[in-house]
Amino acid sequence: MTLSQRDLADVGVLIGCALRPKTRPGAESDYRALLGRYRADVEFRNAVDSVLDGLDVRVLSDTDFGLVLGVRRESVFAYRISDLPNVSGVTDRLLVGLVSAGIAAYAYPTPADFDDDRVRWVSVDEIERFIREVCERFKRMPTDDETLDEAWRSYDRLSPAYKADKGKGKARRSPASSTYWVAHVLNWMVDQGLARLVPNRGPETFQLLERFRIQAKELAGNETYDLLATIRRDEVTS
Amino acid sequence: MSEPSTVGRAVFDESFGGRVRALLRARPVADAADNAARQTWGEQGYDVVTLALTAIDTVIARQGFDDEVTYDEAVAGLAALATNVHPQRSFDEHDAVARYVVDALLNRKEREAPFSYQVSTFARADDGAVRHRYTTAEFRLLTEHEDHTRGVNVLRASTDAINALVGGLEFDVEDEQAAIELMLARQLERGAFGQAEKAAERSRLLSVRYADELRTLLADTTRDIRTVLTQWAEQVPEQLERNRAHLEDRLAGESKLLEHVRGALDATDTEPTVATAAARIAGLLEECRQRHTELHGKLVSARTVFLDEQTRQSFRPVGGLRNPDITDGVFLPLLSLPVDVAVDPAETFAILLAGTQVQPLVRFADLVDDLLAPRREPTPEEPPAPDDELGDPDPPAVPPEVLEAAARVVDGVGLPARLSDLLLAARTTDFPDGVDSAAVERLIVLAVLWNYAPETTEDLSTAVDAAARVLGPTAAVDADGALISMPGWSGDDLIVAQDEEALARWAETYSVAAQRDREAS
Repeated sequence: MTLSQRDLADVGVLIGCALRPKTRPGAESDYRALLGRYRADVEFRNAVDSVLDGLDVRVLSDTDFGLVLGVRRESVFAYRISDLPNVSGVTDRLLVGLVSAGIAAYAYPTPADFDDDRVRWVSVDEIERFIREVCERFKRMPTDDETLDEAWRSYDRLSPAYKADKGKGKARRSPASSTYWVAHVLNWMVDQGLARLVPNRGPETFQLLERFRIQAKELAGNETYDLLATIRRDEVTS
Repeated sequence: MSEPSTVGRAVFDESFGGRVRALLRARPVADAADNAARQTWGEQGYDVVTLALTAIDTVIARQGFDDEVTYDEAVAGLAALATNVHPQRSFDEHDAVARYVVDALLNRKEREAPFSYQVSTFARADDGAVRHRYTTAEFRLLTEHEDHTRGVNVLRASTDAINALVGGLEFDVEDEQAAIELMLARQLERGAFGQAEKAAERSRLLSVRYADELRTLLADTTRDIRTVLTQWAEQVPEQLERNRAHLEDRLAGESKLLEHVRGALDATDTEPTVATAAARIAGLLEECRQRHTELHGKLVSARTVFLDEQTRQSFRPVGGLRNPDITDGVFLPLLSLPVDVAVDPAETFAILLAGTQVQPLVRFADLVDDLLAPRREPTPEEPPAPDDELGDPDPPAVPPEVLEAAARVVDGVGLPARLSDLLLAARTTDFPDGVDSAAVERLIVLAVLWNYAPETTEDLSTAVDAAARVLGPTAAVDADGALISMPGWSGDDLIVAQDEEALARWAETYSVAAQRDREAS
């Protein structure tokens, strides 16, 4: 049996739903039906996977939470970090990456934690404290050459609470403060369907959603690890 | 490389660098004193160094408590001191001096980045040649932190500032608590209840802080036991034991104090002010005791938490083979790489974590609409630019006499009334010279219409004022479908009432009557 034109249209509908991380199969019956078909119908599943492969995207998980997609960096659907407000220079992009990894390390400190699907809550203050303590550990570590351009220093140089325009109306967090970046990244994760704000658990507290666990476990963690391993190998051989 | 015969050998010592770094900690203060000469008040001879040390001491005095010093408090304190130097100078100058000092300690000039100085290190190689290289010393003196309970930024002194600029001032919570208790006992003996109450308040805050410290430790233990393993092995058991003994002490001591305070309450000749203070203190101490008991329970179970977590975390299944190790495999390596190497993998992590992004496409029609849309009005929170003071105010669009006449017409008819009645009255009234009855009519109509459906005009306040002067500040207007039958006007014959309530009453009585009229005709 080959897929009909109509089936191919369904492939498109399912991919369209999966591309919007906030669409839930529980809320949309079409999505739910197509997701069920993806799980049961091998031919349909192959068609979806092939189309996605052409778009440099692959399916990370097909649970009831929906189809979670992972991108390759060159994909048209990959997030462009420079699209985030106030992110322009090398340091800004580095900070977004460091804070993202920091949040993941805080919530999932060991490999085994990824198998434990209890709910994780993080707050801006906790993450700030966590990353800063790691920086303090680096600071105490004896080094031979004080080159001062290790990545942690970019974070450590930020003030924990600098606010520009003191005295003029409501002072807002400035990009020169680390809490600004932590809050910025967490809010971005909310937009990406990775986290949810839970105000009743304390100030600026977020719940990391299942999608976060899947993306970090199935894709981001290992790919970044491999990339770092390649860099280290190149350093040794060169 | 010449043999430095003229310099002492100490410069090559290991410990020499430490002395240089210690001296460097004072440099921001010295620099600030130096730069003070270039400020507008530079000639007045304020002692920036003394003020700076005062600022650090002020911050340390309350560091770690619930009411840590805010930026404004620090500035206000220093400004008060500066006032004593030159009482005849303006307050603004004292404030500027204080701000200058605190800003210098925070390094606000560099957006609160650490102070950074280049240091020369000399070393002697085996062959006697002298090698020189630069290293950089980075440190902070004061830092700002967010205080969520009060929603303000508070100041804290760094370890560097405390060690180098205050000199070995160690902050031991337990001593603090013992000191407070002693003070409270003394004050109660002397009857200084006002002071004693403050001390009791502080004692409660300390109990809360204790619990916080322990909560952090236990949270870290539950999160990832490896991060606190050395702590548990070395300091924590000792600390817990000490805390526990200490808490037992406090529990006994505080109940004794409570009895003391109650004694003051029970005494027949207690002054009323003392009695109320004692009652408040008794309440506070009671709460203190509860906090301590709570903390005590937590302390007792701390070791069990550790053992449980150790069992849970050390003996759980290893986890899937493909599970990434974010902490050791990604996060820590990323932090230790140089910036230019780290940025690519760091960004990769964020991108892969983020999932998909569908690029928003610009629809041409939307773009054109957006471009043609009028500029958004500034948010009403922002006060309007004070350009009224410049030049004469614009002449009012409606002459005051016309406003006056319109208000009199409305008063004459009395509210509630239909618009047609008001207009009829305006048409039949004799106005003084220079007042056009058509203008009065138009004003009444505009005022009523504005009340009915306010339009956002550029000059909002004038429209509100004019409508209020004609119809009264609470006037309410509504339509019931009846049409106006005045020559020269068309549309709904609106109902004008002095307020919402009157309008509702009117509607009840007249709508029924009007319906009957219509049916009759």
